[in-house]
Amino acid sequence: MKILVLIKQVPDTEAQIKIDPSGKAIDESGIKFVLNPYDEFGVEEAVRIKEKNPDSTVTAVTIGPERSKEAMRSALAMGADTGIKIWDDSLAGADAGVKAALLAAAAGTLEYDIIFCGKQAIDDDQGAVGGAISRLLSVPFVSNVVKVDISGGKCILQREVEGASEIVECGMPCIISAQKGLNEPRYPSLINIMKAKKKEIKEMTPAGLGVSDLASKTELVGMEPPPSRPPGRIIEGEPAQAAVELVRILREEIKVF
Amino acid sequence: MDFKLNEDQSMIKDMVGRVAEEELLPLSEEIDNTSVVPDEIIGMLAELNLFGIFAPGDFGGAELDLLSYLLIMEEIGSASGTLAIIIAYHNSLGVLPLLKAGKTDILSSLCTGEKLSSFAHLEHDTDYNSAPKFTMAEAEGGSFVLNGEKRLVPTPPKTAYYIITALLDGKIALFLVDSDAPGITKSGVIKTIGGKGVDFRDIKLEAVKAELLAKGEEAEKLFGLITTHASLALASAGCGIMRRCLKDAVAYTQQRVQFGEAIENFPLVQNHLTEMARELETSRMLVLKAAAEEVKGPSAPVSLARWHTAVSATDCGLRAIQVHGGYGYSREYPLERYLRDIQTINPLAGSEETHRNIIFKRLRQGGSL
Repeated sequence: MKILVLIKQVPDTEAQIKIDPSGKAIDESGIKFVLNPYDEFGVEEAVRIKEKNPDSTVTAVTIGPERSKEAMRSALAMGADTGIKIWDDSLAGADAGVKAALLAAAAGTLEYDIIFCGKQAIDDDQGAVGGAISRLLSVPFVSNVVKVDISGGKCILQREVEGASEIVECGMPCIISAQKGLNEPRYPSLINIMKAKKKEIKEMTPAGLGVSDLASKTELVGMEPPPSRPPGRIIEGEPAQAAVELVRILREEIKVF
Repeated sequence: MDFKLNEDQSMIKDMVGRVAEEELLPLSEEIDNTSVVPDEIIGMLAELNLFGIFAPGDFGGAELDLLSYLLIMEEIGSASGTLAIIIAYHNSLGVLPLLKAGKTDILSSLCTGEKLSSFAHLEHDTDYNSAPKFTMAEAEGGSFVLNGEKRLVPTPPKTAYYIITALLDGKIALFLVDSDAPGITKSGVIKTIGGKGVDFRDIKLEAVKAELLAKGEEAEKLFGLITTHASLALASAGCGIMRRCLKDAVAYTQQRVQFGEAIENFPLVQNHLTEMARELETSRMLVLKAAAEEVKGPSAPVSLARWHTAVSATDCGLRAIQVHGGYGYSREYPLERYLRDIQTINPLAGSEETHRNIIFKRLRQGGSL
């Protein structure tokens, strides 16, 4: 089985995000970057499938600058066989549509049965790339998957929906987006971290992939930090009066009822 | 002088740091309470190759450099003093002497963590700066037998081999002994203030069959090498505990309100925190400086790093307790455990006096540190 895993390097969940002076990007100084946690589920699932089907290959694909090689190396240390990194500087700020076009073009140069991606990247939270690629490649897309079974050349997938689990069947090739719960990603061992260094990361450019339309269809106009939380209010006075005042505030100012 | 970690080192530090934070730290309280290290933890550490950190790949080791080993020890120390001791003893005092002595047939089972190894040197009246006095080796047939008694030997679960020092023809020699060999009597677990689950025991040896690893000058060198190596590893683990003390102290002082404001605003509290930072950073720098040169045997830079770390860690642990006020002394918070683990780690593989002696010898010879 040939498996592709789409990965993205994102700021660590604990990073303190600041907006840079352009107002259209985050300030990357001092930020630690990690492999997107949802993509980690995808890598883990791909590697588990490979372990059950030893003739399988797992290729991790990413779009990102030089630093994104670290995330790629994490995926390789977890067990992906090779990596593909797509970049040129014109891609800074590219939207999901452009990225999907590039990833679809890269997939087009490879054989694949399953493409895994995270349900979303935790930096921009768009969750758009998986669906967009499925359209470009004309293959089925199943999102938010928490269980993957492969039998008889088909994927039987479990999705979490409000109040129930949905079981979906689809043929291959297909695109599966990973939701938390799909698996418990492994920590790479010391030996595998060292081995990952010897695995190939192929570098590709949009031109090399034959993608010339790099114009984003959406434009990031500006970024704003979330509003700071208003300070709490303390209602003074005797309990009976304070309760009356609290009800007045809830009713008249906050309008909860 | 380059303080930047290379790509391998930073990735290794990140990975072990994640394991320490996400998997080991949540269990460290239970290990301390029950004095039991669960088999699953040993299994997980084994899968990550933490029992074959620098051994060659042929034996299932990860072939890492000394700096990577020390970075790992700091991360492990930041989560559990007990696990740091087990890993340092196994790698520095078990795997390393076997590698150096060319005793490679059992190395694979040790590096994969299938079996663990430990080290027995201390006796009633010996320290790490002296040869054993009461454990005697005698040649018998083609092999050797040991008689004597060793004190405070770590015997965590799965310990299958001891590296034991003994006198052979009046000089130190190193031997390999099967932990279940006939003639070995182990005491019950000795109650210690920290390092719970390391299972320190006294060991009595009565005509125990042993395999010679090194004798004479070679044994002296090997003993110096492995105890120095372990000292650095344990110093790094001490830095890890200091880091944890500081992290907890900073977090606590930001949320603890007194007289209407967070106590981090009080100069006295700030003083504690900045002193802790000084203690941690100077210790770490001395450890890394000592590790910049190949460890061959007892050295003044290693002893300085070890001694400074021990003193600093004790002080840092006390300051962390101090800024936590009454909570610092209660077992509801882990501060008192950090201090107990620090006190357990500090004298291992060489007491403060041993290290002062080594430093003083260097000074007397007109050398610098």
